[in-house]
Amino acid sequence: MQLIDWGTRRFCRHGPHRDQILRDLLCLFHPSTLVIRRLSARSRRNSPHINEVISKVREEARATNTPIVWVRESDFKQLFEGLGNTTKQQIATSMAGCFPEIEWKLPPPRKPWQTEDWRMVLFDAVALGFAYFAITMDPDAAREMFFVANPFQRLPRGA
Amino acid sequence: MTQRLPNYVRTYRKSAGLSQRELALVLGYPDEGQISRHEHFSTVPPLEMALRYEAAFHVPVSKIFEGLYESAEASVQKQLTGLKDNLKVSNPRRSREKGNRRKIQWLLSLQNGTENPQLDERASSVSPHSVRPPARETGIRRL
Repeated sequence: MQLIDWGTRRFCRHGPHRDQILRDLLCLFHPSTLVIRRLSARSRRNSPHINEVISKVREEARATNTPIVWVRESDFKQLFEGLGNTTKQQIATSMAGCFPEIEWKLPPPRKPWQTEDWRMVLFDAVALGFAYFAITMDPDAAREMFFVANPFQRLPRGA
Repeated sequence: MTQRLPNYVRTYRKSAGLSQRELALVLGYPDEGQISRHEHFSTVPPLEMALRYEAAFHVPVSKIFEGLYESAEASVQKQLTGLKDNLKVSNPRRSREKGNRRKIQWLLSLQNGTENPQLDERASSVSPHSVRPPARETGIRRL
């Protein structure tokens, strides 16, 4: 598994270039699959703004014939808990171990009174891609890659 | 099947932690415009710049421009098949046939993935006696 590009894009909610940004990204890389996290109705992340963005992404993906794969939040959580990662920071640190090219982007642990670092989005996206690979494609290869990159990872009891 | 991108300049640049402007400076461009165009696949760099990319990233050009290399390879393969079909047509002139045989051997060696076998054989079969003796000193004497 190799990263081709990584980064974040910002756009204004009602800005005129929002659709164009999505279209440009899809046209530039021609992804074989788009992976999106399926949020449960009770999730705190489930906001009208995010749902609007997701529906836009779906629209653009349909226009370019790009298949979409949904990864459920529960599956995502279960996978990383099985690998001994329970917090967002732990997941990000593990991903930085798996992909050393983004290690320098890893933000320091957040203090309780601080807001989330903008770079965390990048590690969230990488973790989602990793989860897709581990859940649907090759679980053993993903597990092996994870433990080779993070040899001191502690597994939860009973795992 | 995954589709290759025409080039992976952006991947290698980001892995190195360089900005477009810094890479442009390294390669000798006045600004980052050309790098951006290469990364967006809107232009292809000239040969010298491609070699500079190789020198900067320590990665072969065929790896940096993998998609381009693959399409070039496919087109060469296609042309080689055409050449092979042309060579198969029997030629009445013997001298031509001899040349054709050599070309077919070269094509087969390409298909088998070996370097030119005839040249290798020739290089290994050179005996010490066949080496030409050094030319005699003529005319000018060194003082």
